[in-house]
Amino acid sequence: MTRARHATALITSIALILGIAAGGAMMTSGVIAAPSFTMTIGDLEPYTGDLGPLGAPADKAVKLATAQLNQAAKQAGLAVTFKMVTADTRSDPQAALSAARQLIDQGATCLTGPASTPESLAILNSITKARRIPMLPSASSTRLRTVDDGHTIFRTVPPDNLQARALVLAVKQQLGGAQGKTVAIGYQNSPYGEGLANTFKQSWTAMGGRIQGPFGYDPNQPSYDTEAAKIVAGSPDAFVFADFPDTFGKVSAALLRTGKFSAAKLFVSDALAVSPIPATIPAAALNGAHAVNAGSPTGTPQAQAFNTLYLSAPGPKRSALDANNFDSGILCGLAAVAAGANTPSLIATQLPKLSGPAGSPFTYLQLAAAMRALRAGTRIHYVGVSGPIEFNAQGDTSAGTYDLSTWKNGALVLVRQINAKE
Amino acid sequence: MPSSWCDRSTPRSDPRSAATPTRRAAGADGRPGDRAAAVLNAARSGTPPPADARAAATGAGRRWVAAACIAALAALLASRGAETAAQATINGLVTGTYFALGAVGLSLVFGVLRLVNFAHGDMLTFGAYVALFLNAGSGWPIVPATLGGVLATAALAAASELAIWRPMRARRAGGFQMLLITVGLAFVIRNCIQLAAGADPLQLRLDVTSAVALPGGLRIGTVELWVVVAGLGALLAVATLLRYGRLGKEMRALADNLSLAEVAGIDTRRVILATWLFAGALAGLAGVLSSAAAGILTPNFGFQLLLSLFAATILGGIGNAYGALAGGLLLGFAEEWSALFVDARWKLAVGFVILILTLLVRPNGLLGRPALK
Amino acid sequence: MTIDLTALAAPDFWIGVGIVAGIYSIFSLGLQLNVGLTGILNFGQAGFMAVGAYAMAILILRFHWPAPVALAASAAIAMLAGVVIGAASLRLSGDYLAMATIAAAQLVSGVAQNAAPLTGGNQGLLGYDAAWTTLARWMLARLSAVGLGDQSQLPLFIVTWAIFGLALALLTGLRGTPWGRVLRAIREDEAAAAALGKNVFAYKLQSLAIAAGLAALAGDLLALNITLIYPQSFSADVTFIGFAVLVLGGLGSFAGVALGSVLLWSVLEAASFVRLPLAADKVAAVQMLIVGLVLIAVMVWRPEGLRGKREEMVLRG
Repeated sequence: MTRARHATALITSIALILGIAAGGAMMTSGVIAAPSFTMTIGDLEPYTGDLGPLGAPADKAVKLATAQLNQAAKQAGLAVTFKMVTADTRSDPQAALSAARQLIDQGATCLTGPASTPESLAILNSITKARRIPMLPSASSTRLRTVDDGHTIFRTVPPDNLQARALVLAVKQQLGGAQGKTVAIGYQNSPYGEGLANTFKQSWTAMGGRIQGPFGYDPNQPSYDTEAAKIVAGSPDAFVFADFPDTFGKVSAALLRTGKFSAAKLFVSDALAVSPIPATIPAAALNGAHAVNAGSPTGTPQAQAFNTLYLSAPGPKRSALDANNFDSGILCGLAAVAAGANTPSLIATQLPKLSGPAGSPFTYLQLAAAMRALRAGTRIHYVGVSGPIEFNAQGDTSAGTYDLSTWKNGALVLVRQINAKE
Repeated sequence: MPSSWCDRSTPRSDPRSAATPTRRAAGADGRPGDRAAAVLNAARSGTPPPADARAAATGAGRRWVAAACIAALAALLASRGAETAAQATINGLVTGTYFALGAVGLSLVFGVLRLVNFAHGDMLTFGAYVALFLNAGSGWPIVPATLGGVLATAALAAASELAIWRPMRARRAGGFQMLLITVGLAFVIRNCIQLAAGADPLQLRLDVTSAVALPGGLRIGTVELWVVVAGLGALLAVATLLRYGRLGKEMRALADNLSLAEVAGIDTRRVILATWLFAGALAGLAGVLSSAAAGILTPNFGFQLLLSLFAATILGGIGNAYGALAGGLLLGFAEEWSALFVDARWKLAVGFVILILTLLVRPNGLLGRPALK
Repeated sequence: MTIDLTALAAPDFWIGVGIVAGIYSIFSLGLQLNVGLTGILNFGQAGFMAVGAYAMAILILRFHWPAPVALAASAAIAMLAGVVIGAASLRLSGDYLAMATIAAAQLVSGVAQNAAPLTGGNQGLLGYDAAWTTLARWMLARLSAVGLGDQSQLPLFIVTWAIFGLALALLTGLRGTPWGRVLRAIREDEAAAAALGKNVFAYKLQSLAIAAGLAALAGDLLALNITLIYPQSFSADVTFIGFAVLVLGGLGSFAGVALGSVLLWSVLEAASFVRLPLAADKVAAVQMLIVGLVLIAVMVWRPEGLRGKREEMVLRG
């Protein structure tokens, strides 16, 4: 009977899943005790989907961090090794969940990434909160802070409300005040762009400034000429863009074609703060423009060393947030060394202790020394490539130091630093 | 007797007309076969197909569209000023050219083979990537690189005909089967491109930032201008060729009734292969030109454009190159004009609404040939 | 090329796969009713899924409805959406209906993305799952009695497959009724069914509405699984994966949908364990490549599906 056959097939398939599940349960291995252990960093990146371009550079950064950790552990004489596993979140929360489960099943005890807030929230609520697995997303929305994370989310990326504030201060200083000045805002219609644009709008209007827009656009539009015309209409005093390089390349070409756009009036968010200007963005759109960017990514010795390290390794070029991802990887490793075990909850407990002025400062260039200090029970302060790590009570970096940089001949040059407070 | 949902000859499956034969090839005027025969005669004698009842219907559609366009333009001029309206219209012309170029191939394949090709958008992507590798990768100048992209996409389309569609037709595969194969093909082409080229955006070696100043303070990008000229030129050439050339007549004969065309001595295999070559070449050209003007290319670019291409095809009436041209331009104008009234975030939705409304109100297209319904 | 077996053997991973497979099974049951039984080419199933998930979340968050009521209402609202979209488009045949429904689904996704006051826009909606979390905790407490207490995903797995089982029983029962026979008659020969005095349009509308209701339930479960809804979760790809599930399981077979779904998702998820000597973004393309190849291969070589019956196919020229 066909109905019987159908039922049999269904029961068989469910039984198959349950059987595999039960079989697997018996194989779950215990935690390896300190001081000799292998720590697995789980790197969740969007290799495909809308955020696809962010995946490979972030992955490279975490790989470099893992290599640095291994090298340092050897130098410090520790019997600790680090390995990295990675999975594709496909820019999609559902896929991110599978990816996270897969990494955790492969033994990951600390997660770097994912790159977007929806993915982070899905993983947090479904998996990591209950199991106290620390996660260091590179998503920067303010929303990720207000969520109840059971102290498992830590971010090396400052939240966007601070960034919007830094943008406001930068524009305000350039225009000599906000009162009566008009800023045209353009943003990519995505959680990142929309969040930043709205926060900027609120701060700017609160200071008496006027807003043109905000103008949202989709990354998949066939053309952006009409949007560009609306943005430049009436010669606003400044332009602010919250966007990613792939879309901004198309939008900025359209802006230049209007003939009414001036890069000198342009301020962009951190995802666009890339140096040198990528081939996909017309150089004329950014030369002379300003960008805010978390931390001090160009001035410090560790930032310069990281730049050399990154560029000498094969793979993608520098990209937004690669330094933050590198720092996230290093933090995972240091927290495991501090915990003396490859146990997620212990790593989560140790992570906030790596931040703040109470400890003695170490950069990744002194990683072996930092590890030795940790094993000696000394409190350290990890000073990252992306800036000093200062976690607040929400696990967000509370150091509101932003670099205001400008592009000269295709490269970002630091203008000054902005301290953004809430 | 084919089930109705496999029968592609009419967009409306009205159960009330159950008494009429399911395969209503000639449709509108209720004289099955007559028009097919007329087209065949025309194909043989070399004279244009006879103007019959469809002329009146098309005329009504054109008047309707013209009135709507004039009303929209008048509203634009009154509310947003002449310069803004004119600039949006120029922008619409640029977007419309991409849509039209992309839609022609879709429309031809749909018309001749009754196949809605969900892989068409990814054929655009394929052509663009081939041109990109020749231009940015191998250093070819843009014109030969474009030709390379066009030829490669035509070859891809022909290969799909030989490897999949011809054998499937020989097996008398149903419409559902064919449709899902196009969906599968779309996934395969897109992800093979990503496998080969990665997900990072890439760009052709072109200066997309310069613009040409037109009278009245209007501007159009230099590359955009070339794209419009080359695109519309190619479109008109193809449309004219199909309208008056022997191949176009044979295609129409196939579109009206495939088996009748076969009986009448038309080499249907050759005509279908030619249809695919044309569709592929135009898809490749559309892909290169639209990615050249936008400046940036990612693997999902074509698929994102696909629904707009459907809209342009349906709007212009299937199987008709002039129709696809008109449909594409109309859609381009509608989207850009809409951006002056509503938030541009809704721009893509405008295209979907137009597609749905056209399907519901005039499924044979505003400018379409009623016989093809 | 190596395969990581430790993770592949982990129960957690397979329970996760089972949940997704279950959600897609419910989703594709609706497609089976439309495509396999009635002959309606519904390409907008992801849109109904979005309507359901958003309806549930909005009713809970904005109107503070109790979760079970919101769940039921979400299915009802999606069915209503099915009736509205169907009333407008079901007179179209084949491909035209496919285009109209996929455009409608994209429109739903556009509204979800841009009507921020209602739908949360790009930021999505969050925090509608409090009642579910309580229930899941209660279930886990019971499960711990049999030693499964630490499988936190098991409650959703059980609920998903229970809903699938109910829907399967319902649809299998319906198939044997006169109503089900009319649907099949419509698929076989719409004109003949109409000639017999059946209101073909009304039957098609009912078929689409039921499918929309099933999509809504799948959407609700998806929302509970990812704990956040977000416009991109309901892209057209979801519908196409549903079609891959459908053809794998076999046209016309309701139980086959579960087999197709489990098979496809096992392959898709396990595929990411295969370590290829390629950059990660390229490896990821392999997964969607598999979906495409499945669609082509099944349609070319076994159009009746892996275990479908040939007589269920309506693909005679």
